[in-house]
Amino acid sequence: MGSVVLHNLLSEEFGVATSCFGTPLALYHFLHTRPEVHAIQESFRQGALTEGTIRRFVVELLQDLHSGIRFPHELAICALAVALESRATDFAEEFLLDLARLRTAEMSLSIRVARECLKRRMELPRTKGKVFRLGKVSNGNLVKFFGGRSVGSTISFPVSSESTLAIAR
Amino acid sequence: MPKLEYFLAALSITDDKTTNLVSLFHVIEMLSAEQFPTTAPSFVAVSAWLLSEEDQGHDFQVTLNIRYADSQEWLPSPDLKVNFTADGRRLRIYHHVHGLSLDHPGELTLVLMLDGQQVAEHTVTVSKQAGED
Repeated sequence: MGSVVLHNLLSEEFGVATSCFGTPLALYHFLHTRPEVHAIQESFRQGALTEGTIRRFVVELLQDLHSGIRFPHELAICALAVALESRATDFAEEFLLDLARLRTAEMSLSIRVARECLKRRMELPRTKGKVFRLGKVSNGNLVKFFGGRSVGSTISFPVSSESTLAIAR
Repeated sequence: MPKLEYFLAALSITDDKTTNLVSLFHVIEMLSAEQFPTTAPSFVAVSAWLLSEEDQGHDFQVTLNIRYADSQEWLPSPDLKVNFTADGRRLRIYHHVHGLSLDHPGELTLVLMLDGQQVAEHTVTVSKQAGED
């Protein structure tokens, strides 16, 4: 399924639908509405598509990149950029950054769409975490976490009930 | 300055890489132990920050301090610090804390500080567990 949704980006129907946009911003917005882009995102969610598959697909497409000739798979690359825009992985970040940094006239449209994606991506939450090990984690003692009692409801969480989450240490 | 959106401590957390959504599991409100001193189960303190245009490119430090409400002494030493450079509109900071030692029951206050200024706190009630029937 993963490679099918990618190869849909090379279909004539997709090419015709997306080829009439004069500006990268208009194309960017249109791609967000395309079922081909949604299908890629959905395949990711379902685990049917991996970033490795996308990497191989892109490498395959780039074999048709030739100096002085407009890259024939620009729209597919644009669609991938939009599909990866909100994906919080290093691959997605690298894909968009590498594309946006390119200075080649043959791929000018996808470069500008990637820049638009990066601009939107800046709006997405980023995460930074740090692990602090303060001492021995396990001491053989039983520590229980529990919630408060609910008010005005028939459901309650008594301190010693089985609804408490017990974590044996 | 970064604006705090929320601050919570929970037993575990997941980031969905596909949707970039965060889920917190079992927000900590109370805990009990059979005996003291004991070690608190591992937890994560999550703070979500909104960064303005003016913040971009500037360095900030978010510190998690923990103390009993009836004490001025911070429990872990040194402070639990996370440094960051503002880059983007939103940032989530996770303090993963393992092996926090608790020597008696009481109200535990998790204090969140931005560049040395307190911005929020989260209170956890620590009690001695009654004997099993």
